[in-house]
Amino acid sequence: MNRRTILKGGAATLSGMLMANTALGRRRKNTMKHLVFIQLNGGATQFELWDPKPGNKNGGTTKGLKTQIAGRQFSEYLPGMTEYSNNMAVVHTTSRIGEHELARYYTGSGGFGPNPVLKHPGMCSVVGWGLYNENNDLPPVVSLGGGLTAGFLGNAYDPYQAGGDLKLAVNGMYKKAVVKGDNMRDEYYKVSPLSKNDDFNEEVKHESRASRLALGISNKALDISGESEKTKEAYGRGFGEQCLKARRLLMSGVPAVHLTLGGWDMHENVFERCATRVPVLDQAVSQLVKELKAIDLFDQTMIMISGDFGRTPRINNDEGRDHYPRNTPVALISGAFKKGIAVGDSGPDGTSVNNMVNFGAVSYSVYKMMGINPRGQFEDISGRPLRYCPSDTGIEGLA
Amino acid sequence: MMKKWLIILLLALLPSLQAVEYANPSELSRRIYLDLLDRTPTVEEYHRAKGIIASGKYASLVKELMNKEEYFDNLASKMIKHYSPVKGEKTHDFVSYLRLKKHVRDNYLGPKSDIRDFVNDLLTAKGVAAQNNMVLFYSNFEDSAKMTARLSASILGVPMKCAQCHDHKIHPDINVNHFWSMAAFFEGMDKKIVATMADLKKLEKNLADDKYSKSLGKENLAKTLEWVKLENDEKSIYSTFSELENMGRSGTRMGLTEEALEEIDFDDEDTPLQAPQLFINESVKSIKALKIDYELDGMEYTSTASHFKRDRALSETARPRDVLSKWMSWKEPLYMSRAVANWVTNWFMGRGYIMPFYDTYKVEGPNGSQLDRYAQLFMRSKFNIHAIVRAFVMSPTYRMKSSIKSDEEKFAFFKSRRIRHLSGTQVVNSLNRPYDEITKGLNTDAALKKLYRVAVYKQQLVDKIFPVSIDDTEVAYKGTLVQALKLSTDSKFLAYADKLAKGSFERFRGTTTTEFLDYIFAKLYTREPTKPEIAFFKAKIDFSKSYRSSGVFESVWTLMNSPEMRLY
Repeated sequence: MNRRTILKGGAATLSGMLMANTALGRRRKNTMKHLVFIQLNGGATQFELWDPKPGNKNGGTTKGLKTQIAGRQFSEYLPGMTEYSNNMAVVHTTSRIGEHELARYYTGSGGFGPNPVLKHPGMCSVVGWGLYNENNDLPPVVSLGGGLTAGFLGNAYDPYQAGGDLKLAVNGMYKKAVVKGDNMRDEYYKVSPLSKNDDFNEEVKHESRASRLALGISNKALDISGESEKTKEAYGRGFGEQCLKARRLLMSGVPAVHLTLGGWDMHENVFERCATRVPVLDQAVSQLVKELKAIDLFDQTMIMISGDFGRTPRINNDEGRDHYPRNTPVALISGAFKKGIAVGDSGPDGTSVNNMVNFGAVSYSVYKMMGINPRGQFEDISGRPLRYCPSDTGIEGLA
Repeated sequence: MMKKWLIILLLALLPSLQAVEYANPSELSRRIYLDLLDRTPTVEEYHRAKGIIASGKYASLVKELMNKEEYFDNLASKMIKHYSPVKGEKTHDFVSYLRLKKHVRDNYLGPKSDIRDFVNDLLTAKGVAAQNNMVLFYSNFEDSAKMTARLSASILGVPMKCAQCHDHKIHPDINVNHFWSMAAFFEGMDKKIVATMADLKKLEKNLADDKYSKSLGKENLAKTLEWVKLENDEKSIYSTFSELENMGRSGTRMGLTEEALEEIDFDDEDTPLQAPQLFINESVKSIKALKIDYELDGMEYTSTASHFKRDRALSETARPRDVLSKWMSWKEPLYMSRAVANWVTNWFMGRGYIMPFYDTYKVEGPNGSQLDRYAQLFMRSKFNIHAIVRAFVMSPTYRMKSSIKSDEEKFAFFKSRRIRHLSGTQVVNSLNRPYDEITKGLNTDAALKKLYRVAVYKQQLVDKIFPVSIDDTEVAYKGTLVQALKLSTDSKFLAYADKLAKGSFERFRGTTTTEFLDYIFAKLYTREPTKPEIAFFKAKIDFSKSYRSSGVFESVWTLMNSPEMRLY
């Protein structure tokens, strides 16, 4: 250790102390910048995704594909994902929450159970809160469908629901006047009696950001009309378009994007339905990964795919699978993973819970990788410290 | 009468022992209109109200506003919001709740009304929702435990729901068994959505049973049979209502919320009813027969209504919810009175004397004493809601000057009033014309029809712009990006700004910019502009140019999109 090292360490410690309670202090340098949370509504079947059991009666007709994760196969419907499985972590979590709404809260909040007196933030809101860059016009969290609110973090971090038509065009008749009005408002605020109160700065920022967003180039982030047909085809329609929009939002600097793909509550005809449902997911996510790699964002982005819960190993009389929270897999995809990892194992017939973790461990690791202190606390308006991650430990081998 | 006013006087004097800075007439006129009528005053109303307050006749202004239809409408809305299931857990649609509002306004808000009658009718509601609007205070989404949690907090101010899984941590004398024994009272309810012909047949069969139909009561039975007949004839009950009340509803499955419809498993072979209804009856005759099973930490338990912790004898033979209602509103119910006093305070101050505002089980300290004084006043006024509203609006606490930060944050005694944000409804109401103007020159039926239409339109706008209920999170509320985005760029609001600006331009073209500014500041901010503001806008506005080049639209847009527009 030399003098320079000591000085560097000292400076780092001092700045750490000064920054501890500031927005910037919530994250570290050189860490990831984006989270894409893909929620598979209805509870996706693990056997037809990342945990097939070919040859076992519980595996049904689904075949397996070799991956780059030692000893693991993915289902035949995920050919795209097997190609970048070295950048994936498949984590098996276990819980006892087998009801859709409760489970969506549990997985969406990163492992908190519903609480009658407290609303926990969704994982996207925590990331938006932790990584928000105030200089960006765009909101910290954008949802292209569904997702939890920001709960106790406050509605500044609620997902901006941008489903449907994303264009925020101002009626042409007013456009010029609104641009003029926007400048006038910024000037006016300096003579307004409210300007003496810092508490209103946040609202003024919202208002300025809103006009810039509706009038400025940031609005382009929400508009895919300029994308070529070839690109749109590559992503696929429907959910593919969501992924394309997500890519544009990430490029524009939005920290967290929430996507939803429904139709996974397969109590009947699971094999027939997965043959059409899973490829939609595979195609869109694979194209997203491909493009993130091309624009050098893959290392800075975490894609997290989770359903409400897993589904039963036993195939029911209707050729379907029922709710099975004992094995709820989460797929994490990022350029930050240099080697494919599998955590937990359901055994040869899919009924075991060997080395499975709770969902809190997943959110702990994700937050840590994103540079957000998972043991940190948020103080609400009354000074009450609130945890936004339920776990004190993460997943070994991840973070 | 004298006694009541003596108490109001005492209440007025007590807090004056502390140093309180009062709001000026402008601030107070904005506040009183927003709180009592749910909108800002018009320019004319503002100048008049300011004059009345400045001449020391604030009480007469309060009296005048409390006689307006809008006040009764607002009060009915506040009561429905406080006592009914939360948004998203309601069975019936918005239009049904408009009918409930009218029902509450017409039946429970008279000059000598007693809130115990309202609570009693709410707790014992039976029949079909479209016919007995009080049924709308229930939902098919709630089981006995949920009803216990909601109604104990809203009616009694006792947060029983904490004791659902463990003994109450703050009030240890409320334990798990108290919760579940109260929940047992609701186990006697037969509560369901009657949505298909098969459901209707089942109901008809039940109604043929004397014991079952007797518990409905003669009037409810007759009305229920009338509805059953209509459905058998493939007619919607809403088709028997006036066009005004029906609000253009047509087709089948109307009247329920989307959430409620999603819950129903419509069998392909079964016929959906024209207008499915939430139906409630009391299928159990006495509390002796009531029990509820529950599970805690993997163990199974049973609780009975007879276990209910009572401080006086309860009838063992009366209908369970009648018993519960009598118990809650027995003679001079302190808990119910505290709960009412605290939600009224929450209405006017954005927080209750006690926080959280639904927990007034044990009160202590100066806030608790103050709340109890209001509870006593409420009891002495024979549980008249207007008396407590009037007392609070007249109090020095209410008339304090607003500030950004106040002791409220630490939940200490009120020394100042925290600046509040207008709710979505208040913003939309303020930008629309007041009721009197909307209904000017119309006969009663046409006026009501118009009011219903405006109400529906406003609600749609509020839902679009304020998807998160501000009222629920107001303590921590800050305007959101979504709201800013909508208010500044939404075509409806731009059109409104254009209309207001154009009208003002025409009106003030021959006068001075200062006159225009006086008008527009009164309209949007309920105050006069300051000297720097006048100087600023004078440099931006030129009435000699055309409307589009005059800067009037930009000025109006600027004022509408500055935070002050949404504050009071």
